[in-house]
Amino acid sequence: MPRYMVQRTFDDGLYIPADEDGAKKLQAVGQNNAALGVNWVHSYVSRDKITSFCVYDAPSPEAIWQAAKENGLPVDTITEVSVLDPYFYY
Amino acid sequence: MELLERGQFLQSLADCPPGRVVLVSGEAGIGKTSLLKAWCAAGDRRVLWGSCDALRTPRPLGPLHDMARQAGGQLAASMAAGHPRQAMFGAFLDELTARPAVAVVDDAHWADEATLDLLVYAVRRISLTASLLAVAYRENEAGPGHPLLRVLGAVAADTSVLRLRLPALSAPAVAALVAGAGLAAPQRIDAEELHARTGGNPFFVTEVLADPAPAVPATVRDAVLARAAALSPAERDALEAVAIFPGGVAVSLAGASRGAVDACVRAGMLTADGTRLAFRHELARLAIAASIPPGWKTTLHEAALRALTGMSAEPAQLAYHAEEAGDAAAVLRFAPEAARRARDVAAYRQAADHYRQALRYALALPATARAELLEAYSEVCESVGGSVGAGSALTASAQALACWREAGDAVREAALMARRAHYLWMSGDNAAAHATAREAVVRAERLPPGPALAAAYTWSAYLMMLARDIPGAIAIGERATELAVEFGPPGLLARALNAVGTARWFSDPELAEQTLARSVQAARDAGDDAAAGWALVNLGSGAGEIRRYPTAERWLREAIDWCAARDLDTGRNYATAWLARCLFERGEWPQAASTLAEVTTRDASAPTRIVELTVRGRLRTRRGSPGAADALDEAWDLAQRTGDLQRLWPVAAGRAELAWLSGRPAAEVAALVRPVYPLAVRLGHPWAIGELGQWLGDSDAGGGTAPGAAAPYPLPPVEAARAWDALGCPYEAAAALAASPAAEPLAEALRRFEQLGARPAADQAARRLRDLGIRTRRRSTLAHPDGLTTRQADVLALLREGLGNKAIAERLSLSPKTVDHHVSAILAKLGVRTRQEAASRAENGEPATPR
Repeated sequence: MPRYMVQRTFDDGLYIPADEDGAKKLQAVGQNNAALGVNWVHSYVSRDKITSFCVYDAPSPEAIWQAAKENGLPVDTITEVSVLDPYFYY
Repeated sequence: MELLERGQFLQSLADCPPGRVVLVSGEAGIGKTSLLKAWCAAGDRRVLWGSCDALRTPRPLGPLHDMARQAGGQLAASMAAGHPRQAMFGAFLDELTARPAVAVVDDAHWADEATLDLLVYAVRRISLTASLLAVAYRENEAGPGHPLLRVLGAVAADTSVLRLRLPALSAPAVAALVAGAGLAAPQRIDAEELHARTGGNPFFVTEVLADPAPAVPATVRDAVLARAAALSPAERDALEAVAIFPGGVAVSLAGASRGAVDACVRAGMLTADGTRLAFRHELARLAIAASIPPGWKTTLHEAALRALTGMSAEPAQLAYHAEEAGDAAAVLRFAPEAARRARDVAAYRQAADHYRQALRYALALPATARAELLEAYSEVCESVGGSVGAGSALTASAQALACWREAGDAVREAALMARRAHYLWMSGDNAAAHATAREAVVRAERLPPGPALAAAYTWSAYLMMLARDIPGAIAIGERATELAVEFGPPGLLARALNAVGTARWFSDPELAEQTLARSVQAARDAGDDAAAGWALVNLGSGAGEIRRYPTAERWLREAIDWCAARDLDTGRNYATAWLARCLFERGEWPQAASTLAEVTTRDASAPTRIVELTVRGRLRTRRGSPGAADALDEAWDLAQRTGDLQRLWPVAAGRAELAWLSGRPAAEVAALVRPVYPLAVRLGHPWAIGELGQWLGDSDAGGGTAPGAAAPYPLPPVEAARAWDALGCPYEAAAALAASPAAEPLAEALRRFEQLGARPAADQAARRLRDLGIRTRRRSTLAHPDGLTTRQADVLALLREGLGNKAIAERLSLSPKTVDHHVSAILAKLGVRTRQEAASRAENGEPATPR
């Protein structure tokens, strides 16, 4: 399955409370993703919590769009990527 | 009889929930039938059992006839009345729904084409019933290219199917059988040697044990013959008399003495099911049949033919016996009738086989009779399809033409020549096709108006429509319609109306819709489901090509329903891809994406692939998703091979759009469109001219807009946007606004692009606004009329309720510092100085908070 980098912009900042509500929200996101074959690997969030770079494994960009729509997440750009690690070359 | 080593399979079958498909496979003699019989006997469900014939050319829908006899009721009535095939299939499913049963189709590797269609139909719908469908087949006879693979492919991805592959018996099991046979010393067989020789094949083992000899026979055939050798001559004769009937025979019809027959049944070599005699296994029958001396065999077949004729036996069976008896007259009497019956239920391969059978004996017939056979044969070959079918149709129709010429029938010759033009087009020889059509018209015009002229005009119009020669297709097609109504045959009218109607989309859309609707009706009247389906598809795709979306989507959905109900997969796929295109062009991008996912790409025809790839590529282009170039390049490759405008134009436009949004220079963008543009101009297609022309730049289009472009293209930005909105194309409307030099339309364009999720176009518009010195707002701010972000709108609403910052923070799960920041921003945007003013402003009926 291809890997994608999804850049998102949260105008009011991305705040997920570290409590039961937050856990439930993430669980719902995970379920919606799974139904589309989309797997959220992890995300990098900027200091001001406005921009995030999310790494996903998904069957197609269309699946990412649909998952985003169902989870109420904004999408700026989607780029197909492959991993490059320094230790590949040793 | 207890089945050894089949316990787990019986358990799986017993545990199988209703509404499922069961596939039982294994080599001949492995015990598939025995297993299924044991399961049916153990359960309390009703059983409908159908067997496929081992006839060289089996009876069409043989198993369904068997099951109908057992079920009675509506299904039997439908079969007896000779209803259209679709009605018979529906009655079968209704029977399974109303009274849950186990339906078994045995020996499916011998199934005729109509039965295979029935199986595809049934496996797709069995889950709607509380019944079970079991299919038994010899997997080593269903190798690559075997027609049964179509059915297996239909359930390949279905994990709910119960697949049982029966293995050979193990050595201990064979030993148990040997021990159970209770043989005395001289006859004792070494179980290990028996297992090795027979490979553990249950039938082989039991045959040997039924008549054991010290030396184990090398093959099943030897085992069966050894057993037969132990019978008396009269019993041997009875055995041979029954052996020439694949699938068994009624006692009264077998040319054997009753006493001898009873002896064979007692000895276990024949089984009796009511009044029907059969061998225990097809392997046994084949062994005996192969051992009958040729002269005696011919006599037996002659007797069988005499006995069955006049008993309303199936023509397929009569033709078989006739050919085995070498009775040319009988073959010529029964084979064409068998072919007709097969054709009536769309078992085209079997129909072709029967026509070939008749043609083998037709050399002495007069030219007219030969011509009729050859003509019917070529029609059926075309329905079989594929390159083999198309090739046979061409050869046979050429021979038929020679026969008509010999018989001096100019009318039939001209009509067949016109039909042959279409065979040539289907085989890819466009030049020859058009030349033949022209010659057919010339010949037909020499004769008085009649079926020849109707056919000649119909096929000419159809070919012209396919080449998008619109004026020619309409003119000739209208004449064809008048003649087809008067002179028939029934299927021709639907074809003529299809040609005219599809062509008319470009000149008179309202009339096109009426004409194609008439084509659908004519096809239904003639019982041609496929033709009706294609007329429905052309209604949808024609309307879509001229951007009449409500009409197009209505017809496409109807086409999808029609084709799905009849398992016409090619039509259904094509209509689904086209529906996705309409949704995409209307800006319903999530829906377009999910519709695209419904196209089954595995067996998709080239036109379907082209439409599907084009829509996917253009959707990704406009959204800025990766993979746009891959999809469009593949579509371009396929489209170029067809050379047709309606395939080339959307791909070229998509590639140009991608290049432009990627910032490629204008010359490069124009080069992508230039190969197709002249074709659009030559055929006078306004939408193609407009869409392609916009990428050309001033030089080619002669300054300004291309001449002959469709309505919205030449208009100035604001008017064009209004026109696109009226058509229902939000992206094109935004793109028109974005072409404006003024700031306000550009800002509106940006807002619209944001709303659609058209990232590249939005970024471009934002950049141009910044060049004009206008600061662009952050993305989701633009959704709120006051320019408030959704989050800020929430804060404002709580402000209005009189909450303090801390309370708001708690309510919205934000940090107090963030709320502070939001409140300041709100005050700035609303142009007020205190929160009280902001709250009261909200109370004064300011625009409600959008969600």
